[in-house]
Amino acid sequence: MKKKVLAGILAATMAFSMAACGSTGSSSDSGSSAASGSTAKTEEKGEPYTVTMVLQGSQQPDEERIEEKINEILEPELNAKLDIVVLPWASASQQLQLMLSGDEKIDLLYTSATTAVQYMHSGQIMDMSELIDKYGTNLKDIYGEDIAKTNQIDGFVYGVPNQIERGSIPAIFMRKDLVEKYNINTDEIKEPKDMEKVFETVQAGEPDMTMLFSSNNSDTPLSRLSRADGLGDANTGALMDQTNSTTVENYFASDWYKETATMLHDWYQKGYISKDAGTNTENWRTVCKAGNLFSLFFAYHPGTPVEFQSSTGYEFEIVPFYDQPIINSSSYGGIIFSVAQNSENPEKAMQVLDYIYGSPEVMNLLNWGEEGTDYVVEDEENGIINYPDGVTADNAGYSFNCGWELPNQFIAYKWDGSDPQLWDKMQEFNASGIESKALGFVFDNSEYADQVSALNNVISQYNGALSSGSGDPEELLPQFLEALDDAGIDDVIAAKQEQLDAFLAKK
Amino acid sequence: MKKAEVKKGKKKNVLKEYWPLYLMMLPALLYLLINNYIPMAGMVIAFKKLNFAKGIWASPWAGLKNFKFLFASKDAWIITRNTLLYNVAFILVNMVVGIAIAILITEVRNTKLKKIYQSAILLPFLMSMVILSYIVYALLSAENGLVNNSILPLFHIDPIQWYQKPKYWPAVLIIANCWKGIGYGCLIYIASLIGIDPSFYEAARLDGASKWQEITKITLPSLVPTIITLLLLSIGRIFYSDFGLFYQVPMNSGVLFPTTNVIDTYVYRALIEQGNISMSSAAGVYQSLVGFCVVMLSNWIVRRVDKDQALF
Repeated sequence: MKKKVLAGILAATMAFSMAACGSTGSSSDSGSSAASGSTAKTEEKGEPYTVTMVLQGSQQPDEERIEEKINEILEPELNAKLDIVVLPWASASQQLQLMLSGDEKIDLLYTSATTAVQYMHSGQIMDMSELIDKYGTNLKDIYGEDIAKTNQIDGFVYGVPNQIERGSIPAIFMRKDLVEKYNINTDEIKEPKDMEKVFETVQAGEPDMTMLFSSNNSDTPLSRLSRADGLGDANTGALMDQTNSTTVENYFASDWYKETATMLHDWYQKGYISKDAGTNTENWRTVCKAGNLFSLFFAYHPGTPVEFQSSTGYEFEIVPFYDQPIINSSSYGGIIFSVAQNSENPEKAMQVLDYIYGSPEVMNLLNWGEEGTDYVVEDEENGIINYPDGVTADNAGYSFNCGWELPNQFIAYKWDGSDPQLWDKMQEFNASGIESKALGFVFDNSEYADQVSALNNVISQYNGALSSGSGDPEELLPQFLEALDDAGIDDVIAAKQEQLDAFLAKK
Repeated sequence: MKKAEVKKGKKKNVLKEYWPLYLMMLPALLYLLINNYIPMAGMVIAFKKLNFAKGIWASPWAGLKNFKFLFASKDAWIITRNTLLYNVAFILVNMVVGIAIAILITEVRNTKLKKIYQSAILLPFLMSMVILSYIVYALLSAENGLVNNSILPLFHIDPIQWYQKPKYWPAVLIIANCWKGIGYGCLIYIASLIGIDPSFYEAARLDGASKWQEITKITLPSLVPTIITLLLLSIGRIFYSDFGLFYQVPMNSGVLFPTTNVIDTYVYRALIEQGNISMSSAAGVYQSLVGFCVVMLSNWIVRRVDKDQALF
């Protein structure tokens, strides 16, 4: 929180103080480095270049020790070093924005397509297409050239996808002990609104518990249930039925949005959702660990059951609402790595990034730490690891445990309790997905920056209340839609449709 | 010719005579120059389509396009209105309550108690806004808040969803700001109250004046210079809002924006959540412009009323 305040003060002064630092920031050029041409391992001499990689999560006490280990691999291979900077979840986006706006040294950053497109338009990140051509050997092996470069607008590649699940299935996650205690027949749950009966039963027996998790940040029940394809940014129009139709609609004016918001508000009034949902910014895991949460809507994929159990200590009964995941642009753009404009040596940064995609050693070091100290291998054949004797989650020196945030978790070890075939199942899951008609398309909103800003302001005012269930759609939704109209949503949707049609015609 | 020479000579003498004073002024001037004047060049960003790869000066001009988003919705009007009205309310409420409490405290005979009251009232001033926001939350939270669970039932009033209803927030924010900021103003008023010659009160009492008459006829008139100074100081900052108060205390609840969004929070959200520096500096320029006009206007009014009290 304090950091937020500090960030706020910084931001407030930023508008003006930018002048001083920005002009020097501009001198970090993108041209000269590209001129240095191909670099073979043996040619290089001199000081190794340190690549700064910005991640998000909880800071690890023994970060330096792990960096040293990683550098022992990277230095002889690439004449490079790696420096990880881990920003705390709560303030990561603000801090990253300030780092990129200032003159700070930063090479690689973890982000998402929506944010990366903003960075691209303000010139904060670099086009990676040439870098992928030259150094993306592992990337091209994993994805093929098309997918490796799928995150692009007009040939400007703003990021490369992480190896994670592609698409996910909205599902209800319920605490298994309670499902058993109240004899709930999960076969009867077909769609979200079937949960009402379940909540009624459980609440009668557990009056002090919250039935369904809700919050007022991006992680709202409504957003977890949404299957719309936002084409980069759902705020500016979405495909509500992406596998059949290519008509861009106003997401907030859709029947689905209204029905879901109404259902959630009904639950809110019945007490299934916490009365504080409108102001809650707490992560669901924190709430769950406290033991007061019965269920939540979340995205299902083969890795979630174990991940949820290990992070909360509870076993979950999971009922997916659909059979297959949908693969759309955000499936490859949800979690990506970009190269910052501030990078002094983008070639080296790309080499290091690509190396990690193909190196189980570095991936294991980044995610789990050092073998013997931070983990021991329990099952070599299936690649299952666990804490060494005497080490627990509370005293571990290094246990980043955010494999999805790192380039390629599929080549790394799995934690104890994981499905031995997890990575195979994941690949299978990914292969089972149905593709959106708009796969590969991302809306370029640069010409509509003022409308988009005005829209975002309107949306941040209403969407949190409506999608958390705390706001009454009867009262708020008409106001919301009117404000969106005033802010010019129709123009933006028309432009999005036009771009999409042009994209489809080319395809 | 001669006149000019005389003038020039005079100027030199002033510098020669008072050079230690000028020397003392120098660090402050430098500070002003570095922090307040040089960054003004950054205003140019508001008229550019900023691209970090090209730098500020090479980025293309955008004309007034960056200002458009402010006026695309009703935001510009709402944040301007909120900022001004809240500040006017803060100034008035804090002044009235501050003087009242200062008088009450000086009337306390027991010096030990007096010290305790004085410190107690100053304590909230030293608190962080984040703490204040959680104190307010403890009172107003829908699930566990004191007001909804203990106070309203006493009067048979249904619980209120405080963080969903914008109409209550002007009152909440004014009370919260008053509670937090009152101690500081109070201290200044107490200091000038102590300075009032006690013989006035003795004479009044001999003539049989009541306590109320003492306050209205002696105390308040003696406080006028202090009141005007504090008033002018706060008017100078009337277009700046306390970021923490407006961002932290309403818990960033979107529904409350109509009554809690002020220029500073708006600029913050525009910059951090949307990452558009050109647009947020456009909002910053707008703030400076309106602020400049308000200060000029209020100074002009003060000058018309009492020339000596005007700032410039």
